[in-house]
Amino acid sequence: MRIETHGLSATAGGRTILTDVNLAIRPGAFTGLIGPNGAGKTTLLRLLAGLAEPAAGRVTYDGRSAAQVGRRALARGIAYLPQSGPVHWPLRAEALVMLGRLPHRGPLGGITAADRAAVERALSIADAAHLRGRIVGTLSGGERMRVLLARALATEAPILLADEPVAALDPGHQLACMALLRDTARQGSGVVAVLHDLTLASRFCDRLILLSEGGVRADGPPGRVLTDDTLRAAYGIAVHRGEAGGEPFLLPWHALPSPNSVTETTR
Amino acid sequence: MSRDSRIPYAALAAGLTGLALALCAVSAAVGYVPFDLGAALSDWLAGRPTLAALVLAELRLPRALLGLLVGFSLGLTGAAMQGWLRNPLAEPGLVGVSSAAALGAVIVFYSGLSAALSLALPLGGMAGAATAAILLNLMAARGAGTTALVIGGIAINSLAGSLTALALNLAPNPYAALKIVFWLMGSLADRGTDQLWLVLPPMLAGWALCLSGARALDALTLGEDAARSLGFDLTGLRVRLIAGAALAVGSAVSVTGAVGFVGLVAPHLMRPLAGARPGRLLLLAGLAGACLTLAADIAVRLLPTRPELKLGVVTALIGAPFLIVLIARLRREEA
Repeated sequence: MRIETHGLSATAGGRTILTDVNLAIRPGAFTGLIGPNGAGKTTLLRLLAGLAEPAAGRVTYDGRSAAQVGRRALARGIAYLPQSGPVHWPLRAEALVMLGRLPHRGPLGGITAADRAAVERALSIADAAHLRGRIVGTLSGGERMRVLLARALATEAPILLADEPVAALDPGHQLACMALLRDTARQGSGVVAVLHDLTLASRFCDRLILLSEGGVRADGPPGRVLTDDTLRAAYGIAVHRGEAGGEPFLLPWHALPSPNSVTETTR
Repeated sequence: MSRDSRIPYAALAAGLTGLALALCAVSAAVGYVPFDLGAALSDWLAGRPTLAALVLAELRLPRALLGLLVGFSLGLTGAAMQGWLRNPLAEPGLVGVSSAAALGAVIVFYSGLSAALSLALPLGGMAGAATAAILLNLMAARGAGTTALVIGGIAINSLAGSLTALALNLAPNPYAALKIVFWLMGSLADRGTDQLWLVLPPMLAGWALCLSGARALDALTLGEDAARSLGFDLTGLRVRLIAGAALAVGSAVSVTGAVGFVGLVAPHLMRPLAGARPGRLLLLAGLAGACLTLAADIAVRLLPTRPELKLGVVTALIGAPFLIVLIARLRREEA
């Protein structure tokens, strides 16, 4: 599935969050959606998922609107992992992952062998098979994220949209989660993740979309997006650059005093 | 998915159904006059109009079956409301339908219509519940979120409650007020077949509406955005659940008055056995609600107190401490 936005604008509480966003999301790439707080990353991700109505413009899925695609077909095409991933009842991990199969099941149809196979694949990809019998509320943050990722992967949708999947994880789990998302894209899915960690984003993503001041400030491979000028303008930061094992990396190093950055970050 | 609970779902549902039917039979056999259930049953089935057959067909069976229907309605809608709001404190009357139904019945009492027509009381109750459901759906159509709807339900609850109190306050004589108070306490005594037939269709419709939301309630475990991304129409779910609760609980309250705690306790009892899955919980909580209501209604007739204790009083007396123990135990298990 190919998602395109055409002149997309979004408002919240009378404030314009996004204006005239034109993007295309294709399968086979891991895209990082970055930008300062309040830049509209979550808003854009929800618009891409068809969960919010744009103030202007439209989102198309293989050229068709969400209404034309239909609710259930869209659910089979796009897996969405919300920020912080609430789990409201003490379900076992396996039952939670099975929820990802709901778009594939008929109104009265039971769980099929195909559903079980997809759940097994998702559990194994997310390295969560040993957690299947655990109650989700008793899992650690890293285990919990693996189970939630398995839930999203179990849908086996061509597009995976994840809102801050690594935000609450320790460094080891962050690296494992980023590698998992990259591998998922290598298998042919289109993966879009909202990210705050520029070091991880530049290292793992094929493409970065930098949102700032209501629009797309830069869009392309990490090396082209994360330039000193762009980072100063969007985040008000200077970065430290280096190289490890032949791979370039960057680290946010200090904040620059700029009126622009102050208004952006205190929103 | 037998891993999720130690007892398979089908066996649980079948076992609870068997228990509910057995309690129905016990309920039909228990009463104030000595009664040979076997003889009455054979007389009734053979069409012999003996006194025993009449007592069975016109008094005992309607009471037992109403207990089953009312209990199932309360348990099912309780589970549906808890799943929908993702809150274990939600109960069937949360959206205001119970108290609106009670108010409707009280208005009928007050106006004297109930003396003229035996079905006026339940009809008034159903009109009250329908009014509450229409009000809530109007609020929802104006874009109120779930929290706003719950607050709206609380507002309807307290408005209906205060209007009921007003009716009591202005009651023409103490006897009328007492009659209303007694009715409000909830009872299955002296209900007949006409009431049974009146509430059966709306209850069945309400059950179907609630049960149709099972998959969406499962998906809501992950929050509203994730549920929608899994292909569920939450607006449609809301309309179905409010209408379902109004039909099922509204008609239940219309014939029995307020029977508290069943709708709150039944889902809690069954949740561990359902692997905490909200969709799977619906049917089990309904069956558990039926068992609890029938057991309580048997208890009021076996207890030696005269006048007979009201069903709603017994369910609340047993239900409230039970809920406290249950919650304390759940907290220990989670810790």
